[in-house]
Amino acid sequence: MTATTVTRAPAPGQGSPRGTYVAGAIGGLIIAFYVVLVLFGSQLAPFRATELAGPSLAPPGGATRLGTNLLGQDILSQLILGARASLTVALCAGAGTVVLGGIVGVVAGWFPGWCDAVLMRVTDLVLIVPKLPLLLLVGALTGGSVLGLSLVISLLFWPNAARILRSQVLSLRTRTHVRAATGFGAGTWHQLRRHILPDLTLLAIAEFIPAAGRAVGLQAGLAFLGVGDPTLPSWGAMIRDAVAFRALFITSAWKWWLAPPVIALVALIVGITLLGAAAERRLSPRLVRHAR
Amino acid sequence: MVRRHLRVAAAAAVFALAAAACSSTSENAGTSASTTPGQQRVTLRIAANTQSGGYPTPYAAIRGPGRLITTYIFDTLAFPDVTGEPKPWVAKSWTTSPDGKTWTFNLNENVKFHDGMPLTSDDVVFSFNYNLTGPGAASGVAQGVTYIDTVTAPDPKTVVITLKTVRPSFLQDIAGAFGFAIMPKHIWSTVTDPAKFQGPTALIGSGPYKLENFDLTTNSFNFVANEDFFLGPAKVQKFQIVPVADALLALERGEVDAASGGNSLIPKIQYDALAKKYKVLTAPGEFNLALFFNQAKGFPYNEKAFRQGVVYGLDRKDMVTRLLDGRGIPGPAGALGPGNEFLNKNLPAYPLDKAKAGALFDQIDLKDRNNDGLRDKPDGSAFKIPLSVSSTDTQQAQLVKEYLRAVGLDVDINAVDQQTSDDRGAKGDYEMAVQHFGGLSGDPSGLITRFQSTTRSTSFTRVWGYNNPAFDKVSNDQAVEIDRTKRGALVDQMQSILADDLPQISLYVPEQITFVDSAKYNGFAYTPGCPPCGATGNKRNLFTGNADPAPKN
Repeated sequence: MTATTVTRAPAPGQGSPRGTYVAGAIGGLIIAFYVVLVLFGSQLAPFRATELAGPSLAPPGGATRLGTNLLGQDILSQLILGARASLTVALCAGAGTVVLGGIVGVVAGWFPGWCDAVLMRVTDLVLIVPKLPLLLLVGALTGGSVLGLSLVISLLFWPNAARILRSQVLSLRTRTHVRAATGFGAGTWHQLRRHILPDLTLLAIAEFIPAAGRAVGLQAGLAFLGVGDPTLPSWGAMIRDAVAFRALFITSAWKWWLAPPVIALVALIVGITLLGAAAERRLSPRLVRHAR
Repeated sequence: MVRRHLRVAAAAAVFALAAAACSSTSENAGTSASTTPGQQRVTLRIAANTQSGGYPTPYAAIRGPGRLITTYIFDTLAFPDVTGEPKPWVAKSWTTSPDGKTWTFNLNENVKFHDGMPLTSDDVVFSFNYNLTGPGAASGVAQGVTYIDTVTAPDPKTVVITLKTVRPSFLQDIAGAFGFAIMPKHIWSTVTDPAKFQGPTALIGSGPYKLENFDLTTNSFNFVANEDFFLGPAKVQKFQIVPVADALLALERGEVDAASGGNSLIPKIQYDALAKKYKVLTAPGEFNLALFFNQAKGFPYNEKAFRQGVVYGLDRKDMVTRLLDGRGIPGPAGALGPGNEFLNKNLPAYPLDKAKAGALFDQIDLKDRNNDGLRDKPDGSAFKIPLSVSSTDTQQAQLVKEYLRAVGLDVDINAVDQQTSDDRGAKGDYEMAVQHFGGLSGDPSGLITRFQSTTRSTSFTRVWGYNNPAFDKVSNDQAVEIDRTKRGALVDQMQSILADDLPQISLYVPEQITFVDSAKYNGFAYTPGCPPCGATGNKRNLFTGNADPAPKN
């Protein structure tokens, strides 16, 4: 008799659980590094972001470790101080997206009927609004402040979170313990507070992370397009200034002017994505079900 | 030996003929030039301006580049040649009365609008009155020309203009890109809102070019020579203003025939490479970036010591090094450019002097009262300067911010789009502002609309709150002084007053640089009297195909 071993293949689109957690840990470390930059940026940066630290386009070395841009500002300092804009937008816009989506999703899921129908049609409407032109317009009108930008991103990108959280509420309200609570006469507020919202928290976190990643990309993109405070250090603005320099690729200035903010931006988005993937695998009911 | 030379010459002639035939064939196949017997006509391509110049009619076009576009379609009585002097154009000659107040213009024969209607003195009178007192007056297009008394037409080929006072700049004022465009009366007489008048009929003029097609979103224009032009068809048969991402790169790729540095930095490596391949034309700068103080906003902007302190605190030479790789100069303090024939060369240079700046700020009690390194107001409150700037000038504004921080002033940059920035400038809605504009080689009377206390200018170049009766008087006196030497002395005084008061300071003036393919077309040249013309845009050169001075009136 021959013994046969059956190995269960991972569900489509998933790596091994261990690999996902390792990736998540790497993502977490990257984000932790950026958080340190945000918290201690002023102490770590050798110069103020707009300070004239050296001659125009000085290559890396000496007091300016990563060289200078056309105006003679220190690239390293701008890189460190630029983390603040990216992470603030990530935090505020991510939270705003989840809170707005959460409110709509919970209300729609808990009150089926006309309320659900109206809110879902509004959700559909916001989903099809062309985002970038509106972002540019509102960004230009509000002066592109970090908080203003976060608000606009939240107002435009909440529908995904709303749909997912609504589905979860619809599922939760049919669970036995919720129905039992209803039978015992528990009111709406009590039900939401005690039985629904706690069960939604983990899913909301799983929604928050990709929303934050998207916000980082959008903030950099808008700064690149010139929307935002020109004196606020930001990676997008650094990329814009570098690309606007007509001899960027004729000289070797791109190596120390363009590459660092691009790498910083990509690393942050990769970090958030890795953490997001791990969190989703751990927290999303759909993937948790697959993994079982 | 002679026979051998003849054989070589004959072979060369055959080769040249063959080459000409080949080029003629390829041209007919749709390439850049076509030939007419005895005269080769060319297609010229230049890079489109990155800033919008508006719809190309005399009342909708904005700023210099926009006004220049209108000159190809619409004519003026005179137009400058490469010397900068207005020379005959629609008017073939003119005479002035002994008192200098009556000008009689004799129009050329057979001048026709693009729709075939003849251009007569009636159209000229209509165009002037439309601009001075008609619907065009509200547009502010000719706001500086308030000295014209009457414009009459004794016969179809004669126009008589009488002035209220003698004006040396009269011809410059009515000619060129900012002059009085002659519009067809049969079209424009019913137009009540000229800024909004658009469509094919709005683009009918008498100029050497017709607009084949254009795209305002990319600022691209395709002009084709008006074959019925009264002086004959233009040598440059097609004139194309093409959209490119970078003019210098487009020149290197052969997409355009000339490219200017566009008042911004040309990196040395790129400059050297282009200079090897193309002819480099340079001219003293006539565009500048300027810092405006709105004295109507009160303390400290209305204090001369403050304004002088600011200028001593600015390292304008460093700006030229960082932003232009040294190809330019710190702006002269008298508001006229280095290429202006009236430039006063004895003005204070205001080099960087932080100690002097500090002493001047101390003098008006702007001192650091809380040891944070930044000066506070006399009442102890923090002094923050809002600096209005268009989003195109934010890098320059950052330099201003850093220089002034070094002398204890806290500048807060407020960047908006160009139109909003211009509107703020025109309405005086700013405390300090950075603005870019050209025209520094224009007639000194242009300073009247910018600096006189009674000006009603609606341009963003107006300086707000400046009131110096001495300047008002001298600027009025020079405007009516016909003697060149005496006028020069008065204009010198004007500049000295401005250089001392500093209601506005020119931060830097980039040298004008254009790389041209001179083998293709011989008419590239800067025109001192036509600020927006650059080295490629003078229609007189496009018409003649060369850069020779025109005969005098």
